[in-house]
Amino acid sequence: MLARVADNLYWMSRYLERSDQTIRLLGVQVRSVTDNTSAQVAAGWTRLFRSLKVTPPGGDPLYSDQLEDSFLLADAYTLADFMSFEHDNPGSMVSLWGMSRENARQARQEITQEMWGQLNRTYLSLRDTQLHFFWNKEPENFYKETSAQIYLFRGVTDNGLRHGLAWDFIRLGRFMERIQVTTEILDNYRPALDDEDTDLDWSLLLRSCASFEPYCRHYTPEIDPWKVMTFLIHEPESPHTLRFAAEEIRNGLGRIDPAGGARHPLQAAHRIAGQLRALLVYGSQDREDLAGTLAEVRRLSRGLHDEIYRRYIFFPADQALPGR
Amino acid sequence: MIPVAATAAPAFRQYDHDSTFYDEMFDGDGSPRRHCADFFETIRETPPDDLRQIQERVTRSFLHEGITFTVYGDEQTIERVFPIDCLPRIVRGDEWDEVARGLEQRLRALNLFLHDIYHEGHIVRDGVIPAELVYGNKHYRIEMRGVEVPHGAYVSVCGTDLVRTHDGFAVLEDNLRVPSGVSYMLACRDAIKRSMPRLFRRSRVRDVEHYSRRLLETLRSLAPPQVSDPSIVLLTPGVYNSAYYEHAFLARQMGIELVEGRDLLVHNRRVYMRTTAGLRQVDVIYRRIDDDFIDPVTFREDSVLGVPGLFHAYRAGRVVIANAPGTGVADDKAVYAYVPRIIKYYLGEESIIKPIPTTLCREREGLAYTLANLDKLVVKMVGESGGYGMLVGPHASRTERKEFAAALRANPDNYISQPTLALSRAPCLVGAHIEPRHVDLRPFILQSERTEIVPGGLCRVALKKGSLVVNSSQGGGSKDAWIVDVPEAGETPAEADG
Repeated sequence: MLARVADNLYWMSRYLERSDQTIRLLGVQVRSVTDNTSAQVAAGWTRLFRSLKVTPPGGDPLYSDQLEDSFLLADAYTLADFMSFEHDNPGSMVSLWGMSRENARQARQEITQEMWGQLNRTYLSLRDTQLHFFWNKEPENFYKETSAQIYLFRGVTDNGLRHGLAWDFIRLGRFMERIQVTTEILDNYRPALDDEDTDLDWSLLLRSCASFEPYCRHYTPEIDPWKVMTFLIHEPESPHTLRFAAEEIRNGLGRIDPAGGARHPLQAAHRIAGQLRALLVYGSQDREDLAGTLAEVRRLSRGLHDEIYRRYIFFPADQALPGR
Repeated sequence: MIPVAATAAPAFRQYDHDSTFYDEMFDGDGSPRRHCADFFETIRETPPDDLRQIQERVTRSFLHEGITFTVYGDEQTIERVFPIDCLPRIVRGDEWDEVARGLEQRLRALNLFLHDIYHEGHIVRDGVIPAELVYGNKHYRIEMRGVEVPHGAYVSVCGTDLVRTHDGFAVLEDNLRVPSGVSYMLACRDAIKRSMPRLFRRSRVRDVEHYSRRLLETLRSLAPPQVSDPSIVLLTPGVYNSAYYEHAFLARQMGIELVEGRDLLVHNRRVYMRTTAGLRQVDVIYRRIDDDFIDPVTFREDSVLGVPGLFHAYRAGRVVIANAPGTGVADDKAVYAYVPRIIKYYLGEESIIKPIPTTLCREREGLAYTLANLDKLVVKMVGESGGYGMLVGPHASRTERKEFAAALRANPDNYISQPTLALSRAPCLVGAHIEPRHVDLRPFILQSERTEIVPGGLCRVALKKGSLVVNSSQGGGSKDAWIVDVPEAGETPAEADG
């Protein structure tokens, strides 16, 4: 497959995954308005913007101490609109869909008619939707419906596209994005673990990571903050945990380039993917190591992204000349 | 005269039967032509609202499939769908066969002409065509001299623009460089088949769906003989090109890579594409970018779309480019006037498709005739295309004609003139009514070892009432073109329905 097209598929998938995360966080946040104090709601917006690394209108969440106050002033409608439909915000849901679609358009020959149709139709309908159409009815429902469109896209992809290189790069993009965003979400909940006074509802975190039901099946609906945290990091069978993503990434790289992971010397990308997996499978699960683990996941996944680029997308031509 | 049949049909109530123009569906007295009779009966009984719904469904499906072009505005970019008319233009099979023979003859002769002018140039030396029209042409590529092209097919993909008048079909323009529009033909056909399946089946329409397979066969047959399983790519200028949809569509249909200039590189006069598993050699390039832009080393050095060194690899025979560079000289408007003579010179045959009488203003009598009849003629600039630099005499104002005459006198070499043609009209859905609109037809011809013509083509429509301009940039749309075989007498269409 063309290196440029692999790049397009990888980003098509990353943007879509980021959109999925954004939609879920918005859905959770919009829902939390009904049964939380205004201080909790404001803290929720702060976590949302910090996790997605988006600058909210009128403030910088990464550097401002006054942030929670400013969220108290801004109303949920403005913030939700900014994160959903603001074309000038590259992190808004509609912008992310737009970029995913633009990448899909440039990889049109590698994806199926159904995949393109699903992506394009949903984008066109999002583009023509405005927040006030549904804000006073069931805003949470709108976010659920849009999430469902992403699930539909994935279903169409898994069942219509050949499980070859294109499919592998799409999957790689999805789990690379998932591990990075989920790490940020977890890191933004981390301080609350040590906060004795907090009345934070930890089910929100589970819902933000689409893991409420898997958690309840594994434990009970009784939510214990530390169990929630370790579940989302180390649990091997729920698709939104860090460990699950690390396994997928490592397996995916193995399919894309079998020799790269089997022969000596190992490719850098395969080495990093192995380290990432080892950290999440065999690494410390002690409370005092949590911050370090999340920082290491962040460092390794960034490094992995760079190595994937160096190996498959922007390699120097003179190293790749074949005999024929 | 308003015929009885038409008054009975609400959708046709506003249909203007003007015998100045050939009507694709009705004959001179307003009754449907035999090969359209069944179609007319069905449409007549269909409420106009149903037709409008079909039209809307087709338009929506085009939007969803991304068959759009982009309009770049100040505030935002808008994607639009090319207007589609759901009523097909119907052409009789035997008429088409004659046209197809004519197209084949024409392309054969033009390929021989291109071979000749890039080698010995007999036709120029024999005085059949003036040297300056050939060697002075801005599309003549000196770099192509002596290059051998597989099967002599300089043009392997051709999209000829045909029009019809009361005198039959005529060639308006040969598009020999990078003709586009074939994906619209296929998408239109697909949409129409879905929206009127029974009528389509009953109508015995000849297939066009095999176009992509034929194109792939054509490209394969151009590959260097020592390559058994050639690697073929389609070279596109990229996602911002208005025909990008078509490029992606064809690449997908043929299962070949859609590449941009930046995906390719030339090393040691071989062309490679950058894949995730390293570099892979390319054997055939179906290019959809203009000559000027394919290789910044050989042609325009400011091109960012092309591949440096590509032309050297081509000259060395390591890669095939289709269409070959330098074919534009043969579809030039002044050379057009010589095509009947070109056919005669190489094939010893008369032109099967009648030429449009063309006057060259570079000749003194031609200029005088053109100036004297400016209000009746269409005058075109030689190097231009797409409806630019053109005067339609009968539609122009006195001042426009005066200004044009001055430009003409200043540089007569640059102009040709033709009579204003009464383009044929076909029924189109306009709001809730069916009205006649002017149409043309662009069939696609493939040439390698043999010639392949898909029965049909892109039918373009001037949707604006009275307009003769079918270009999409100027209010044109498209419709499906059906080549139908009329059943023998005694065999009813209902039997064909099975």
